[in-house]
Amino acid sequence: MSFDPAEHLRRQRDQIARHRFVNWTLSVHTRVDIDVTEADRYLEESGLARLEPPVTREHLWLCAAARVIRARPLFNAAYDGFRKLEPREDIHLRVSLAGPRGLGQGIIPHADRLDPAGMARALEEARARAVDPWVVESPPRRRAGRLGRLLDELIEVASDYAPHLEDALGVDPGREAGTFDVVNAGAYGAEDLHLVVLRPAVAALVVMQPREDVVRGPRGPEVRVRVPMAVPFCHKVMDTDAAGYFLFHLQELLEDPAAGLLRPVPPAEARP
Amino acid sequence: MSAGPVDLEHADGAYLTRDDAPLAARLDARLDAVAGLRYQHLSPAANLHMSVRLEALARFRDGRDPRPGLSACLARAAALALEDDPLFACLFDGRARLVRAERPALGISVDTGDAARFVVLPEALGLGLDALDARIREAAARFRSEAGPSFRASPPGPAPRGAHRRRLARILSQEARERFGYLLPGALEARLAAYVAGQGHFAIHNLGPLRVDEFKGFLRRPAVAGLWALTAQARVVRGADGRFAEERRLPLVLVYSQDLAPMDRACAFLQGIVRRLEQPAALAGGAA
Repeated sequence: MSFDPAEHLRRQRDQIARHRFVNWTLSVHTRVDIDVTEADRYLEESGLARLEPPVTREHLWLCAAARVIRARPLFNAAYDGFRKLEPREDIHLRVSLAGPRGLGQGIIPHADRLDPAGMARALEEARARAVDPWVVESPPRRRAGRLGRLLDELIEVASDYAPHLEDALGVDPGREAGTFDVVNAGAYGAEDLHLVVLRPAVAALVVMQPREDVVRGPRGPEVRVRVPMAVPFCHKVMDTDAAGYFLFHLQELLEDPAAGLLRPVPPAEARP
Repeated sequence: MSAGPVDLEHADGAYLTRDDAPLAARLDARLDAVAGLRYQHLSPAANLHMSVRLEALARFRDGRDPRPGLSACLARAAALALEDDPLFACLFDGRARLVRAERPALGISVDTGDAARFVVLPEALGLGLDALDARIREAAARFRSEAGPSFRASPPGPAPRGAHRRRLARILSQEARERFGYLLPGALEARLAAYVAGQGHFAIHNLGPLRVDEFKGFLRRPAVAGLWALTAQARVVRGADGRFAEERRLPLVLVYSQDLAPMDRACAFLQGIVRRLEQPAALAGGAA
């Protein structure tokens, strides 16, 4: 493989700036292996899998995630890493997309208002507008040269020890588009993936490769399909039980998609 | 902590007891590691898990004489994957320097019975499986014959006068070198060279002999990635013929710098290792 470190560094420049240690959150990894056997059966029996574009497991879990976020708005908040937690009404999922050119990132606006068929269409539209994985929509500023680096690092140290001075120091942590990240690592064969969550995000959903588990059934051994799903979250903002309830709620929706996913959630102004 | 006599006359904020002194000496010997474990010097490390079906690899190893160790197979698979994607054998200063190794060195942790030590193979990418295996076995034998560090090696009595201050000064100077070394010409190169001498460009840790089932790792700059193998797991699966059978899998964890490597690239790199271990004929080749 031809590999040019200088070119790679130039391309990843904004990602490197976004991943400065002052932007890391205390990312705790909580994972549940969610049984999707019933969801798969539902897709076949309901005819959703034969629509165009076909509805898949991925569309169901995206719908489910958006509904759980609607019910638990803390997961959609923006956090400055210190003392400002800003709720956000609109749920715009930032999703990873596998395409012919490799990994891309797309936005599904107002994801909680979509039913599975609408999600399938929205995902295709997001795929058409996807950006490269190294793109940061609002990258933090970095100064050039050795002296610029020294100044950046001194400011970083100062804001590390005295985060209340960040505004005065002109620190800009940067941010990506979207309000909540959903990473489909399973599309690339990942069996588990622990990510570092960067502020202002407070959490993300990481979906792994499905696997078949043999379990004892009423008529002997049977195979259940499980998809490991993880919520890495900022420990300053929430505790493990919050992530646990998020995944538990997600599991409930995927166990009975007909009950919870078919009706779109109306926009806020239309809600009673 | 010792209940023995403590020389409070020499106290400067805190005091070193007779038993603290060897502990401090041990920490001093690891100053690089201690300073390197500050957040500023850690990578934003993502932990990526995949597993290897072991049946083909077990048959392959059983069919060779001498039977190669698992660490050698991991090293050979990683070396071939690094040829495909050299990013994971680069060194990164955290900001502006990404250095590609001309001849990436593999660091392989070797079980010495009571602790792990690194053998660094500068020419690992050109070595065949048998040669890698021989070097790893030779290093393990050498490490085991050498005396391990003694924890209670200090002479009895209070710590020498000023030991605490001297130690603090060394830690601060190390910290200053870590943080501002890039301002001095040649300092970064010296740091990278010291890192390569200690751990290589890409480190492989086989935790299988310790029966480790689960692992989450950090990554110190300047490394871009490292590989950990855990203990093999058995599970029941449904085979292609519909029958249920036991399958043994080897969990692998790639810890990589999330800012430098996009997820799909890290997955492709780890899949390259998994594929070679599942189709071990690919491990043949290389210099004897």
